[in-house]
Amino acid sequence: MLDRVLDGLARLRARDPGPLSQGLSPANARACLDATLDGITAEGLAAELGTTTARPGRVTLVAAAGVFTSPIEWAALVLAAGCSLRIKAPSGAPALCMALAEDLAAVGLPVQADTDRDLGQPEAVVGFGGDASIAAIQARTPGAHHSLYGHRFSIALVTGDPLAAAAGLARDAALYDTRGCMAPTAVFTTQEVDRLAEALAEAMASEEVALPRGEVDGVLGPEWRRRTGLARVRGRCLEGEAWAVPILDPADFVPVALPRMLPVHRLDHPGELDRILAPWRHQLSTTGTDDVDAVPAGTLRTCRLGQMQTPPFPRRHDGRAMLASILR
Amino acid sequence: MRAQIVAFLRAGGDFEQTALQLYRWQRAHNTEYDRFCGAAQPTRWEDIPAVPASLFRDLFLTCFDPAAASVCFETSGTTAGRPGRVRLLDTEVYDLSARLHAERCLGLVPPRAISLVPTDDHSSLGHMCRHLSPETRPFFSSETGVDAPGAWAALRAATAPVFVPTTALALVDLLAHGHDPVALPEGSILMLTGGFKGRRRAVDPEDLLQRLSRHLPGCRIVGEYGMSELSSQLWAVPAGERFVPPPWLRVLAVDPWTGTGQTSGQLRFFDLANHQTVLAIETGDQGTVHPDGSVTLEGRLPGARPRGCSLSVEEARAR
Repeated sequence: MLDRVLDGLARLRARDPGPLSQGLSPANARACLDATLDGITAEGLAAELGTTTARPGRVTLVAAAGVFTSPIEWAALVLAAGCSLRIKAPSGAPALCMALAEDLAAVGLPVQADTDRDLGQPEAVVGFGGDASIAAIQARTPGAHHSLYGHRFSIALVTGDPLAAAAGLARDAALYDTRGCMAPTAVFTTQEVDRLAEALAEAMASEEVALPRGEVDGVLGPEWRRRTGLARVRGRCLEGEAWAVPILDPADFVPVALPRMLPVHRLDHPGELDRILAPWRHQLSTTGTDDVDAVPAGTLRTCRLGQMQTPPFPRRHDGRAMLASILR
Repeated sequence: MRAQIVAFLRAGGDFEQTALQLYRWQRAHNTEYDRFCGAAQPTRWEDIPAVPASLFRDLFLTCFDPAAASVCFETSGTTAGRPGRVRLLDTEVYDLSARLHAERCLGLVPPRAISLVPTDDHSSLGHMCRHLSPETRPFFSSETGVDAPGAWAALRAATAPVFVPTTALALVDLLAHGHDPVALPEGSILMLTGGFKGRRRAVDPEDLLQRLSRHLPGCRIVGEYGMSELSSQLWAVPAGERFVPPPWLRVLAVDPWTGTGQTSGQLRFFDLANHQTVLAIETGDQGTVHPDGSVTLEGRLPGARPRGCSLSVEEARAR
């Protein structure tokens, strides 16, 4: 079963990821797809399958728009576990789900994908989305076991050399154009902010060459201008054609990532983060950092800078063991 | 600069030249706006840097010492959780702007009002209505909502023309307390303002206007568009028609991402009467600007498309 899953994923890798990526540039789409597939190995799948012998029979995976690769690891795990899988694709962006199901079905795995809102009667549901979507999934599948993942956000924390941190941070902002709950919404630092921002600006400009920014959602423009304008008034804003590094007060932190924007906030001490993040603590996903001992309370995943958007597989997904989370 | 703006309001003038002059004056007297503008050197009014209205939650943006303000209007704060504050030294220009354009669009506004809008000192809407109709009887409070029985009784008792300023949602509450039709004295004006989407329900504007014409037959119904961050208002006469700005205010629709001007899009306002703060304001509203400068409003900008499992701006800023 593992070999078939990996064969199916190899088929997916051979595709042109651009049309599947929901508007990323071709280079970024390729980098994101390769990073995701590189992380799914026979050893990793076997390790997760070895955590329990129980298996659900029929699983539905409800994918959300935004991070186009997000269904892949779950599809691989569920099928490797011998379950049958239905993928409910986001109606506005079904391409990756359709391609994934086609490639995995082509090697004989029991999987299908569609955009039908009727979720049927699966034994387990893995779902992603906003609060309303999560509530709707629960309501529509009352008899199923749920492993649901709502909205979250992530941050970066730099306590060491800013120059050493910049490249990884810029890569974290570039992959997926800063979409998804593991993208850094902002960088907090106890170091000199101008030095970090300048290094970051240079790295962001390099990433724009290597992984150009793709399509952006126009309605994010007002918030982009609010933040850059506020930074010009209160601090400083370093901007390129398709990126920005505004230096802002910690009180101006908003836990929402904008495409290729990395606000930098100065801290006197990492402990301040607990207070700053308090209103959203229960939605904190990942802290990317050069100081694993200083992460804020509530962090579900801690990783090195440059690895925020490439989570390991298997892992505890939002604090839960993956396979066990779809079992009663 | 104030005298020049007052003269423009009274007698007109070259909008572009005055706007650019005011822009330079504001940069010289408004440190925050100067820093916001950075290296901008506009040569057309359309290129004057527009401040997002939401920044009034974070910044003073005054051309004077904020401590000297005698008036502080607050925005509703429904999106970001805390209100924006617009500080003014005084309301001389604000009041002049409101009166001149209201009278231009409506004729004489009845001095007596039966008000269904907020009347507290921090409401720019309440201030404008009180200025237009000094004899105001309030039938709305932010704490208790609409006093529908009281408002109906006042409407029925009216013997002289009345001005009835109301938000769309307050009007829905009023009409929900069913009442026999009331024919208001000739010359009465009902002013409808505010959006048609509330937290509780969405309101169909056409349905509302039809119900209104049944309940208040013969009453003149007009639309008003304004916001705390603007010193001037636009009027739609009758309600449902395009909104007309005064000669000292121009509207630009832009692409919300690039800020490039286009026929329909996110709305920016360039209001010479905003001489004490910033003349160029970027709103969260969208609409179409017609060749004659009038505007068809198309509601709020839609929310951003999902970006994976991350929070939306609205969700995050509401905390």
